[in-house]
Amino acid sequence: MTEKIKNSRLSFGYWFKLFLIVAFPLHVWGLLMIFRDIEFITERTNLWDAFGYSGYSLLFILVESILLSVIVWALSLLLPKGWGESRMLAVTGSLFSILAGASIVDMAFHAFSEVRISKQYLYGLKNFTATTYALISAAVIAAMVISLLLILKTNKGEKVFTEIFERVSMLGYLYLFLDAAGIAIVILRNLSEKY
Amino acid sequence: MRKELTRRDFLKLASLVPIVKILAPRIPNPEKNNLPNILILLFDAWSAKNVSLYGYPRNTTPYLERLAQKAIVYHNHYAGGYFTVPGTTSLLTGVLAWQHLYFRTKYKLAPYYKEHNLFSAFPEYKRIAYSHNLLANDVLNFLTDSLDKLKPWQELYKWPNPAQSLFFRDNDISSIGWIRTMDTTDTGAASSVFLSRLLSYLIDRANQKQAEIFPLGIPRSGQSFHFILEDAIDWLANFVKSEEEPFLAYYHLFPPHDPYNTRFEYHQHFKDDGYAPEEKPEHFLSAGISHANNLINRQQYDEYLLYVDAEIDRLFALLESTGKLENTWILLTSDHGEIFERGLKAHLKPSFYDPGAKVPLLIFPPGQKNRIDIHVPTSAIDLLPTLKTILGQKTPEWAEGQVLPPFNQDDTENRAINIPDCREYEAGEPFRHASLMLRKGRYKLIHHFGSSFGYERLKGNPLSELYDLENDPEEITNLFDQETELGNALLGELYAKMRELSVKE
Repeated sequence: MTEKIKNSRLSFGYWFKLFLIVAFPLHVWGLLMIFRDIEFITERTNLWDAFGYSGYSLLFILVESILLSVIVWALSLLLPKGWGESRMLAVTGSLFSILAGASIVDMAFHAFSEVRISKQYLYGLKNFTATTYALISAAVIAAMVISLLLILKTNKGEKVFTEIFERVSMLGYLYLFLDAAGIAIVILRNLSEKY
Repeated sequence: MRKELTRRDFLKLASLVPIVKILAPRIPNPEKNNLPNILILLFDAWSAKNVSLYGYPRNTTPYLERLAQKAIVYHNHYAGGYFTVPGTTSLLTGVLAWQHLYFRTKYKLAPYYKEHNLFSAFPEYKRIAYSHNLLANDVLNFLTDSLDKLKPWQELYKWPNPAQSLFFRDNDISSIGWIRTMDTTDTGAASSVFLSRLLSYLIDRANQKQAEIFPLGIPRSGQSFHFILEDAIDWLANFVKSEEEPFLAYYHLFPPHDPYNTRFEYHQHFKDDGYAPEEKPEHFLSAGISHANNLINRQQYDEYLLYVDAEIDRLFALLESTGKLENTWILLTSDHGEIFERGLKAHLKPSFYDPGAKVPLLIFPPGQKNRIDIHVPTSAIDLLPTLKTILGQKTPEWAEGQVLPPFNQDDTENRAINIPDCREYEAGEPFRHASLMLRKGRYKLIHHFGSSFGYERLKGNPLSELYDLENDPEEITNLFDQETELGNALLGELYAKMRELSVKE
């Protein structure tokens, strides 16, 4: 069994590539939120605490990236055996990215909307939530179907997605470097005695 | 005939050790036997200005008004700071922030006060503390050498924050990191794209039963941890009933701190009640909160106070049933107030107007049969010397406060009550970006100076405000340019105090 996994497309190498793809949107959004908060934390206490806050946030985002990449990797087991690693990555990566994108757009609406609409007001509107989420779900499903068709029905589609994810993986290394710096900050802060 | 102690004899005697341990607390201690218990109960962000007992037009504290018939009621009691950290630290150390230096979490408590504080002043007591508020818990963490027990803050919460336990040495910042990453409650957004949603779903599901009771959401601390006030009150009543005596207990409960998530019975209680406080000019430290929004915030806060008031009454009923009120002094107060005017938000800035600075103080002596009203200005730092006097003990020399009337027969009408705040502090250096308050008799001076940390709008020019609280309790007419002699005299007093402290450092 171990040998089978080792030799199959579900190898560690496959998981690591998947991890970099998964980590990409999570880190892009996470860093955006961190940058938004840095000024507030610095003003609240100081710059070292702002670094500390960034370190903890990056650590939690790294843990989330690892957990989700393991889940997506495990879900890959359900896909047809005949697909090669490249197609597997293109399919799982694109589906995950669309879901992540939808989640980020929804959060961005709340976090960065110029016109601030309170949640209470939104929830007070009849059918607002149901209608909005039905529209979002339809758009997400449509995007998923289109990307699947492009990958599975056209060689060019698969190639485009594969190349995009190759570039995304390169950026992923940069995020890993930031994560490592974040962990170092967390360790340093927990070695010093406050009280 | 000396008999050797055999191994068997030793083991027999050793088996008695646990019994002795169990009985130990019950063996009367002649020194401790006659001491009353002391319970300091603090509700966070509780402004005296919104309390009907003190004349607020909305009837926010009907139960407290009844309980006050057997209490000493302080009408002009000032907190030691404008938010939890300096407010709590001043109360617990008996000195103001310009001495304990714990202005905010980026600083540390001056080491001297780790061993000189309210708890260390009563070594004959069993000293116990708890705080719902993590910032106050941070203060208590500095005082653990003077405490017999610090109840873990998580014990009265429904969903503890794992970062707090994992990164104990850095609990404040790790906690913020966790909240901003995982909690979507406030803004609908968090740094985590998926796990925050899963967590939010799980918490909502677990809280579904209570959700019906709390239309605005289950009460939570600023750090988004959920709690039920009733649980804390039940626990507290049980603690008083069963704790080893004499105890000195400090309990810091989160309500009515924002968010103002009251129970359904009180939700919308004051809606359309016709109460409309006048709009005041915007303050330079304003957060830009509109008058209309502050009216809504005020209404929600007042409705949260109804909940707090009912729970205080329930606590007293529970305590009465245990018979412990006969031997327990109860001090009911707060660490700072809350403000809903001039564009200011809650207690985020040191404006030092009365809604943010004045807090309730009621002392319930055991067996008190009548109400005593005290109108002279008093301060949070007065609690320590007052408790020492009540017990017939000498006030420690390091304590900055005074003994409260009626335990002090001296004329305290014209004493100075201060609240200092400093944004950036360096040992030995004068304050640079600071706000200071001085209340003396009927007058109050507020002095702001600095060039950053929110003081940019002053453009380098200090701002002094002088109010005659007797004729202008709403603090609208700044008399500083009219009453120049008085204003400068009070300002001189403030600067002299700062110089004195600067020399000390």
